[in-house]
Amino acid sequence: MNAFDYAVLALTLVGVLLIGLYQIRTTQGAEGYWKSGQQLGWFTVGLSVLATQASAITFLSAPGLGYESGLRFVQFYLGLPVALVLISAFFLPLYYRSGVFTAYEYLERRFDLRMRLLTSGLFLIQRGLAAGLTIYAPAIVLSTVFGWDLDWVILGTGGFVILYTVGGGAKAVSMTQKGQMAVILLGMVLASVFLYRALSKEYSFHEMLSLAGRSGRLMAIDARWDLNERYTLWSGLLGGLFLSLSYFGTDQSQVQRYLGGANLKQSRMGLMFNALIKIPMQLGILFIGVLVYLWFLSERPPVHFNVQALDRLKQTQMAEPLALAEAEFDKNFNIAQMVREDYLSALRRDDPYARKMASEGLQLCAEREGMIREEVRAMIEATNPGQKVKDTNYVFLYYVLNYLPHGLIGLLLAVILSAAMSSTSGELSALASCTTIDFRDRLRPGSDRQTEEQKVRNARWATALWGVLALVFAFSAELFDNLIEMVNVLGSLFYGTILGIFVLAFFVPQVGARSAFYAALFAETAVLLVHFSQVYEWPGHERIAMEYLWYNVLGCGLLVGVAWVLEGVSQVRRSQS
Amino acid sequence: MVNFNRFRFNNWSELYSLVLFVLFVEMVLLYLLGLIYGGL
Repeated sequence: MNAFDYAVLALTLVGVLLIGLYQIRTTQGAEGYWKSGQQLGWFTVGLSVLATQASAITFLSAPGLGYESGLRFVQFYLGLPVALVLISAFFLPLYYRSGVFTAYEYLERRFDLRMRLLTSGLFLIQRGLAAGLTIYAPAIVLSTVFGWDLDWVILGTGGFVILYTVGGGAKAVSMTQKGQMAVILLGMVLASVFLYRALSKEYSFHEMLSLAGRSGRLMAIDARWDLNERYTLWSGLLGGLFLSLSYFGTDQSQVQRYLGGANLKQSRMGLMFNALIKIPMQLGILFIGVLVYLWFLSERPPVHFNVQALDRLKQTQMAEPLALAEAEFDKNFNIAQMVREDYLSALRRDDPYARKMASEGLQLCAEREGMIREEVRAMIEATNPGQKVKDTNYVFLYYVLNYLPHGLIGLLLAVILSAAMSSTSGELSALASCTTIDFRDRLRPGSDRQTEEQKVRNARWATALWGVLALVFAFSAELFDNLIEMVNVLGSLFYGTILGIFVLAFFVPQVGARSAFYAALFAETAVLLVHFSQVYEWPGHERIAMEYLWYNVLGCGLLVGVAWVLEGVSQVRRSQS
Repeated sequence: MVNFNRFRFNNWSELYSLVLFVLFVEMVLLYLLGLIYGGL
């Protein structure tokens, strides 16, 4: 990073913010604050939905995943277009017709207040914790790589977001997200063009695909039926469908984004824009990771991409074993270089047998490399128990800092910070809207007599409060390492149940509030039991093998089934009495 | 009429069908990519 990079970074961030703030100078009243005054066109809605989902970690870890295992993570998104079509066709008209401010407000009209508060409460717990992590996760990576103070990075990004979210509400969020998304897309496109041009000096496109393909990194679709495998075609299509239905259809941080559309048509078009662009975009980001893999076939990669952790390791008693591992790594890399040349020449003269032999040689080198990396990870863990030893999130940043030209480095840093801010702002605004509308205004007597000014003032206080809470959680996240793991699966623990409640509300009119409530408690308990039976062991129990994407299907299915049965039983009882 | 600037659709079903068709094509292409270049 030099002065030019810092200038690009500062100009980009401030520019986006100023353009966003200029566009919201006319926002007025509570309707304007919570629903962007319902004036947004489809393109703004679409980009805003896209930006809320894409957090900084998406741009740090997705290329890392591409580097490590290739394109298979894209399967996670296969259910998304189907979910968005269903939401656009069935959920959206109901939200619009009822004129609600929060998704959970609808549940009171359909069931009762208890259901509204239960679902809104589940959302607040899950999203409140996640908002802290959205700030913390990129901050820890940036502070490690640049040597910046962690607390200042958290305060800098978090404070910036809080300022404009409190000031301008949902419209400021959507308007700044539009600019942030433009920066993100521009940065990623420039990075991939630069990387591709650098690689094309050495390989043709076919050779690139062939080298990446032989390592298994282009096997995007895994059609095996295996509940234990995290990303398969089926877990992506079915589990991903349920996850996306819950996230986009019932999570206030998304519902609020598309309720800001000027009308039903603009909101629907915004969602369809996402349905079309999401998979190509994720594929593009993963493919950058694959290109980084190709790059490090001819450039020696570090033995661990978190080089700061590696430097610290050199100061400990592990320095000697580390030097041995590094020497072994170099030797392996040099052999791999020769085998790669053999592979390319076999490919160029179209000799399948020599190509197969070279490919097997490369595979052996890759396995050896993996083992050395594992040894180094074990050393880092041994000298510093509790430290994160996975380096997936550092791969792309290492490439950016060491091989991209100045200016582009600053822009890519702006991409990461823009992504962090865009998802945090959406979350804060949604959290504040639920706290104010579902809890404060609903439960406090006399709230309906508030003036517009009072409503906006309360809304600002609620946003600021959630901002501060997210900051506090981000500051203390370091102390609760296990909690972070927990929050990552927390979404899937609750989403199935929340979706089930909405499915009942929208599609099963005969089920009443009482049956729905008990069915929700039952389904949530079942999902938690399945999850904890995998995490903890106790005597005499069999581990239930299920990856977290399937929790959404389980929670939703159980809830609808049990509510149906309970309603049937209560109807029989009523008719008997 | 749904109008994405130059792209026009007569009704929502048409647009939804297009979205699902694009998803199907993407899956087939990704599968073929793995089949052609995948594995050792």
